[in-house]
Amino acid sequence: MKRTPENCPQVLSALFDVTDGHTMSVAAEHGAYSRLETGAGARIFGRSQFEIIEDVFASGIRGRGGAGFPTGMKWRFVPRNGEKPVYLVINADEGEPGTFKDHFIMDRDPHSLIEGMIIAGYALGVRTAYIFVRGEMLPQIRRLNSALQEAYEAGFLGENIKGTGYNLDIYVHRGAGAYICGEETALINALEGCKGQPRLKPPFPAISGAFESPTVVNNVETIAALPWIFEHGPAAYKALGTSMSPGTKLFSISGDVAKPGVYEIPLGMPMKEFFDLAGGVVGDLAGCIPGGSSSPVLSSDECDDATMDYECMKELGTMLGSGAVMPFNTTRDPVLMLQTLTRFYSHESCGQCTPCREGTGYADRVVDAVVAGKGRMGDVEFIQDLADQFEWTTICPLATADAWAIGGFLKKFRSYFDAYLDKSDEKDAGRDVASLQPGGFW
Amino acid sequence: MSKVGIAEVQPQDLTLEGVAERMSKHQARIDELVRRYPVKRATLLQVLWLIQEEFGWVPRLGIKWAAGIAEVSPVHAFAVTEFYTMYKQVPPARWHIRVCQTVNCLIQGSEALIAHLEEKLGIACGSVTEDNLFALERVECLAACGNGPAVQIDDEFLYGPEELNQHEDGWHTQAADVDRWIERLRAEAAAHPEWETVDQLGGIILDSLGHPGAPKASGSPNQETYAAAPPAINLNAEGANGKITVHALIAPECSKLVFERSDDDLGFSEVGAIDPSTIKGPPGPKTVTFDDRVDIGKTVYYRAIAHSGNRVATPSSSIAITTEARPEADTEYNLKVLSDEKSGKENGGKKEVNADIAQASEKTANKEEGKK
Repeated sequence: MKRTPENCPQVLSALFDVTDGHTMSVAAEHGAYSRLETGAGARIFGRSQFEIIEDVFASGIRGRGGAGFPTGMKWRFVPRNGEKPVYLVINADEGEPGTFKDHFIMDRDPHSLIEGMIIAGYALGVRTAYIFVRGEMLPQIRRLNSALQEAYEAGFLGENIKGTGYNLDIYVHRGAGAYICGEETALINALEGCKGQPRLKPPFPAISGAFESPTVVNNVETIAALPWIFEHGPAAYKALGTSMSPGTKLFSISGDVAKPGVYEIPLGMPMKEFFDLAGGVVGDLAGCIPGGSSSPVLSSDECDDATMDYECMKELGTMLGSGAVMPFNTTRDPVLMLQTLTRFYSHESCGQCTPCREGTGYADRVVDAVVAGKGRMGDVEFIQDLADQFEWTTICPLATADAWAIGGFLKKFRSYFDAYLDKSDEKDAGRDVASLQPGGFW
Repeated sequence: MSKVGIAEVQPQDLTLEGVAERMSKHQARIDELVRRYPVKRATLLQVLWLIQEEFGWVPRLGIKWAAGIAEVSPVHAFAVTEFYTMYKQVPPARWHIRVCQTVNCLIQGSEALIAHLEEKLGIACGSVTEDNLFALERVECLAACGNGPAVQIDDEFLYGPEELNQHEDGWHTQAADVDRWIERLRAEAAAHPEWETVDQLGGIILDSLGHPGAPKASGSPNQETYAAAPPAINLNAEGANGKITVHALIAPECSKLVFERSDDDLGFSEVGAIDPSTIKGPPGPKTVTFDDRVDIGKTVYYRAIAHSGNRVATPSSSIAITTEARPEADTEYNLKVLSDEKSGKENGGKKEVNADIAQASEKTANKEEGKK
C-alpha cells in the first residue's frame, strides 16, 4: 500500500509494509539500532546529553500526541542529573476517536520506538522508562514485550549498554480502559496505581511527575521519529514540512474515504491532496474532522483551502491534534455524529471537576432529546450555552474538547439540527430543564 | 455491564487465603512487578489484571488481596477497579464481543452491525447469552478506525479476513465476518469446554533488575559515568563599532565558560571566562556572550571551552573573524565572520557571513537617532 506522496521520505512508515518488520532481524536489515554504534564519531553514545537534546530541538519536531508542543523545548527544561531519577513515560494510550497511528507503530515497527526511547533515555539521563499502553491493546503489548526481549538479548537494554556505562530498563504498563489516561498527568496517576484523573499543573511533569520525579511524557510517534532524525541529521528533518511545522507526520484517515489507513505526509500538504492519496472521498464531501474528535469540524468549503499543519488548522479555528482525519459525505447526519461525541465525552469524563462531570452529561442528554424527536425551540442555543460554560473551566481539556466538538457541529451544520427541531412535536414547549439537569437524572 | 448486584455474585466459598493460594502460581510475575516501580502502589493495575487472568473477573476478595500486594487500602483498590472500564466485576461470559460505537465507526456502519449481532445472539447490548458463551457490549473508540466498525473479541482485534489480529489495510468488518467467528467459537466451545486463560500482561520479561533504587539495580544513571561533558555549541559572532561579540550556547549544568583566541587557529590562549550563574533567565540552556577588540586588518580565531564542575568538555570548533578597515571615517573597522561553527564542523567549508551590513545600518540608525 502506498502510504506516502512522491518524494516524501518514510521517517516513520518505512517498515509498515515489510513482512516481519516487527522482528529485530528484519528491522536491523533496515537500519534499526544502527544509530547506537559506539566509538569515535558515534551519533549517540559518547556524545553529551546536551548536544543530543539540542539536536532534537534543532529538528523542530513537535509532540505528535495532539498538543504539538516542541519536543526539544520540553526536554530542555528537565532537571537532569539531579538527586531524583528522571523517568521517561511513553504515552501509548491511543484513544482519541479516529486515531490509530500508534497502534500501527507498535504492531509493525516496535523497534523504532525502542531505539527512540534509548536515544531519549540517554539524553535525559533516564534509568527506567515505561510504555503506558491502553488496556484494549493487548496484542500490541505482546508485540512490544517480545521486541523488548529481543532488544535485551542484543544488549541494547539493561546494564552497561554496549559497554558505554549507560543503563536503561523499559517496562510495559497496561492501562485498563479510560480515555482520559491519554492526558499526561492522568497517565502518570494511572502509572502510579491510582484513578486516572488529571493533576493540577504546575508542577509540570518535567519538574515533578511520576513518583514525584522529573518525568518526560512523549507520544509513541514522536519518539519513533528520533532514529531517522539522528540518521539524517536535524537539518534534514527540519527541511521537511513547513517552517513552523517541520517534519512528516502520520495521519490516520477513516470515514468516507476510499482507502482508509495510516499515511505519512510532510506537514503542510493540502488536505485535498491528502484525500486523493487516500483514494479520494466517497460521495460529496460535507465536512471533515481534521485532528481527532476534539478538534472542531471543518465544512467542505474550509477543507478546500486547508493544509495539514498546526498553523493552518489553528487559523481555521480547529487543530491538527493527533492527526485523525475523518471526512464525511452529504449522506451522513451530523446530528447523529455529534450525539456519539457528546456521549463519548460524557462517558469518558473522569468525574473530578464539576463542570465537566455534570456539564458533559447534561449536554449529551439534551442532544439525545433532540435526536429522539423531543427537541424544543432554543435547544441549539441551550446546548451551546452549556458548552460555553464548561469550556476552559476544568483541570484538563476534556470538557473543552467536548465544547469544541459541540461548537463546531452547531455552527457549521446548524440546519440539520433545526430540521430535527422542526419535526419535534414538542418544539413549542419550553425546555423543561429539571428532567435533564444533573441530579434530576438519578 | 450487567444489572446483577455485585454483592450477590461474590463466590460464597472464596476466602482471602483461597485467593492467595490461587495466585501463588503467578508469584514470579508479581515479584517482577514489585521490582519495576519505586512504590508498590504502582503495581495495583497490573496485579488486578493478574486477578482477572486467574479468575476471569475481579471478585471483591481479589481486589482486597491486590490491595495487600500494592500496600494500599482496600477502598483505594476498589475505587481504582471501579474507575477503569476493563475490570469485570461480575463473572463473565466466555467471550466478550466489543463493538465500537463512536463517530468514525458510526459512519462506517456500527449501528447496523450491532443490530445484526443483537439479533444473531438473541441478546441486547450489555447482556450475556443464555449459554454464557458471549457477552455483547458497545464501547467507545478502539483505535482501529481504519477497519471500522471496529470489533474486538476478548482482547483480539477483528481487522482482517481470516485470523484475529491479522491486520489488512482497508478491510472493513462485515456482519458475515463476525458471524463466522461466532460459529467458530461455538464449535470451539463444543470441542473444548474448558476455558483457556490468556496472559493479561502480554508476556512481560521476568528477570529485570528493577527501578533505580531496587536492590539489584544500579541507581540513577549519572551522566558523568557514560556521557561526554557538554561542550559549548552554536558558536557565532557579530561586530559593531569596533567591538566583536562572540556568543555560544551552553548546557544548564555548565559552571564556567572560557573563551580563547588565536591568531593561527592553532595556539589558543584564554581571553576571558564567564560564570553562567550570573546570567539571568529561565532554566535550561543559556546563551553566553563575550566582547573583545582586535587590531584592524587581522584575522583571529575564537573557540569556547565549557566546564561543568570538574569536567572539561572538548573545545567548540573555532570561528574565524577578519577585521577590515571601513571607508567611512568614523568607523574603526569592519568585521567579516569567515566561518561559523556548524558549517566548519560539518562540511569543512568556510561560510562567509558579511557582518558589516548589519553594523552599517545599525550605525546609521544610531546617527539618525542622534540627530533627532
